[in-house]
Amino acid sequence: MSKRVNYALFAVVVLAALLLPLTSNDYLIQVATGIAMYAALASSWNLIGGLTGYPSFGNVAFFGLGAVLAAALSVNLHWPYIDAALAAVLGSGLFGLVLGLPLLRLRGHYFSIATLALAEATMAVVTNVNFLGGGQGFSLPLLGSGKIFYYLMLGIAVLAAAGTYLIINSHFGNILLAIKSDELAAQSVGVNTVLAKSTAFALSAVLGAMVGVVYALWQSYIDPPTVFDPGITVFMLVMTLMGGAGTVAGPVLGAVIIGVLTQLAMSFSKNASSLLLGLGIMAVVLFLPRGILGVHRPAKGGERRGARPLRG
Amino acid sequence: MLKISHLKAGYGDTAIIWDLSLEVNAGEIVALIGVNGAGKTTLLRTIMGLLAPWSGSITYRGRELTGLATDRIVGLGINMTPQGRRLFAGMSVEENLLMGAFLRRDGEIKADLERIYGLFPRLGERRRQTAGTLSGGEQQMCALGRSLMSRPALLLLDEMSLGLAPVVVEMLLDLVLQIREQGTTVLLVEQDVEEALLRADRGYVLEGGRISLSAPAGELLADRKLQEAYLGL
Repeated sequence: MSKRVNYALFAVVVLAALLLPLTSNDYLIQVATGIAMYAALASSWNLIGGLTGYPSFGNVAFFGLGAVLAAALSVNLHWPYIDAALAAVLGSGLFGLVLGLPLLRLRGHYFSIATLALAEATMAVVTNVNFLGGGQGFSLPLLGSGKIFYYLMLGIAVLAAAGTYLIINSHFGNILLAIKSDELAAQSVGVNTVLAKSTAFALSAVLGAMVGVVYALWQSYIDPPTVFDPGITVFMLVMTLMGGAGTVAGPVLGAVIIGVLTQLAMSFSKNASSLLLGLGIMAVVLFLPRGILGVHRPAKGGERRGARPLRG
Repeated sequence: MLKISHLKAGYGDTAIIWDLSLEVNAGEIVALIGVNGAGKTTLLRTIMGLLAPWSGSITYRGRELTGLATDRIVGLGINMTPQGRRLFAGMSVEENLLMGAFLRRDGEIKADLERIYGLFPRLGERRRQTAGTLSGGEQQMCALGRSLMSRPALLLLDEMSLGLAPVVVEMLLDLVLQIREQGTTVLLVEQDVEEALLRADRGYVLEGGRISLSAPAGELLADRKLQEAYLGL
């Protein structure tokens, strides 16, 4: 697809999403809010898992930490929510940057398992710190209409997709691609891989936390088992892989497909959605290892666009 | 130029290199030979800072390298063409070459790119082709070109001949002479011992993580024991 077609498609999708609340009922808006939320979360996962090639199983930690920090600052310290949200996002980004330094020394399965442990440990700490709500969690004031949260989630999703596009076409994106394709070679040409990987992890954390702070206000009640549910990470991962890891639209497409299918399955039975998710994972692994958007791209061969010089 | 003394290094609990010392002088081609598992690649990785040494020192132009990150070491003018090429498979030939100039900020990168295409016309023809689809010989040319794009003062070549046709090996090794003429010092790790020693000034024989023999290349070529062990004569 040419650039122009991609831009047009992007504009149409965003416009349709913006107009959705005008024509539909509350149920649909709630479902759409969830889909926008997961589109943003999957895009955040894509930064570290897709673009950098480090399959994190702990990204829910950033989502949960964002939600809990924002709630704690606003409830316990009576900060205005916008200030609390900003602090929570920055704090989670810093958390990702600092923990990325040791975690990203591990590769493959070791990295995945370590990040899984990171999420569980974060939940354990939050559960035992009263300031962070402990096991009780937080109740936040109810805020007006559901449309606000739809637009907020949509805004973060658009920001995530646009950010991914900019990164992929940037110098930084080339660095991440080099790390993904051969990290030792990337080091050997002089890339500071530790810094690049940690930056990607921190950006992923920032986006995840942004979703978290909006989620806390949307649900108006949060507790650790909900916002640190490992299933949330699984959704991010499966949606990204299904749509196409390392692409801009892949995570969004995956979120829409799985979001819609889950709702349809729910109308039959509550367990049907888990069954469907399981079947979906198997189908992706067996038939679409590169994701839906990955099918049209040659795994090897083919010509690439003209290259730009890189500077360190 | 490069001075290694009493180096010990390895992976996990296993030492691969024991008390190794060697020297490379500016303008030389030094061959490092040894059987599989002797520690050749481990040594190069330790020089590049990809592996932390357990003890000993590595100095480059009088400066201690141990403890420096790889990107700093590359910035000092040392570059390695890794064993097995290790190209960025999804990138084009040209993108791979440009990655080689990653730390450079001068305006001559484009000119150097053309120079590489002059050296390897095959790469020029395939500049837009994905690197993963090149033949083994072309991949090795691309890997060598990528290293040269950093304008290294000291070039570490790890097993360039691996899996390549003899005629390609000779072509690449002849190029090493040309690279030296242009002012780059070369440490050549090779299993094709004869071809390497024919072009090197001096050679070291690495056995079980230690230097067992060090002599001018011509003497090593004539050494009976070495001939039996490595050349199959």
